Amino acid sequence: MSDDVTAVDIPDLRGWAQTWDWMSAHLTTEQAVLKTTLENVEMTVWSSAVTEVDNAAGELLRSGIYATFVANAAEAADGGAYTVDHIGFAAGIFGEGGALSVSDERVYSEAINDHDRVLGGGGFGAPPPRATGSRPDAPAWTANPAPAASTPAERVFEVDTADAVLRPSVPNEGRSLDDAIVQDRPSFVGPVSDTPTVGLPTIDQGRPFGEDGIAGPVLPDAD
Amino acid sequence: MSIMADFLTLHQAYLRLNAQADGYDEIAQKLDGFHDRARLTQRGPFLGPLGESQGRAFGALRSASALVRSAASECQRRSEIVLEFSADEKRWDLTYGDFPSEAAPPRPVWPYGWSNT
Repeated sequence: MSDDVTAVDIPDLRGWAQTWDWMSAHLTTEQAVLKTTLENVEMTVWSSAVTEVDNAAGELLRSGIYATFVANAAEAADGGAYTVDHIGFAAGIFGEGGALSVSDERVYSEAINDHDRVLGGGGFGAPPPRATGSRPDAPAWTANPAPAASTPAERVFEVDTADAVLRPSVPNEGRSLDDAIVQDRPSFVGPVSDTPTVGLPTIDQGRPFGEDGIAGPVLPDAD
Repeated sequence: MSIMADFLTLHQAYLRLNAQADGYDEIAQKLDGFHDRARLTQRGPFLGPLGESQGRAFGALRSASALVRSAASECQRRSEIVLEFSADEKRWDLTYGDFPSEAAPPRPVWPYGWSNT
């Protein structure tokens, strides 16, 4: 492939931009730590190191902006067939950029990491990113008229007290414990000859404990 | 603040600064040779400005790393000086602490322009 042909791998560009943006943010944090450390040991004579870290952080953000700009431009080109001119246009706009304000940096950083970007705007530069980044606006209600919001009074949960069960019933409530047990315990009522034990096989209760050392019941054979 | 506290401050700064310099070098190493790698998947006029931007970031990181390592070395040097001075003071106290002032040599005096208090 010759050098006069533009070939853009957009996922690569976006991946690089996000990596550089992360590095930039990391270095910005490091810069603050470095400044404090040097001040604590009274070595501000090395504060040029802080400036260099700031330069690196700014340059990495700039690289990320540029790469995102190119990726956006390529994606926004007609039919996805990006052209050298389009890329050149993007590069030209970027080249006019100067130092970024803190708010600009935040906007660009958000745009670099915006996975929900809206294509068609060309990315950075034309048109400029919105103040909140390149995220789409929140959906707006389009019905006419929009339903009125309910009032607090309308949202009150109404209860028909005539049918409501205010509390569960409690068994034996109001009776003494003895009465409740006697009344509720299952019991056989009928002649003795009809007790449930009639017809069941007899159980040899065994010999009294102590005789021949054998104790306990002897269970009948299964048959 | 005691001298020993200053030694610890300097020693911790030495460790922290070296660690930060390592981090700058690590990032710079990732950026190094970007243009050649980029040409494996990209072509076009935008690569030039992008490569220049990466080159500037690389240079700034290398410069920052070198400066921070110098600062770290100075921290180490100063921490050793503080420790030696502290030992001289203690040695003097043990040797001449009970002597009449006119019979003892002067107590060690901090000779450096940078603070140790």
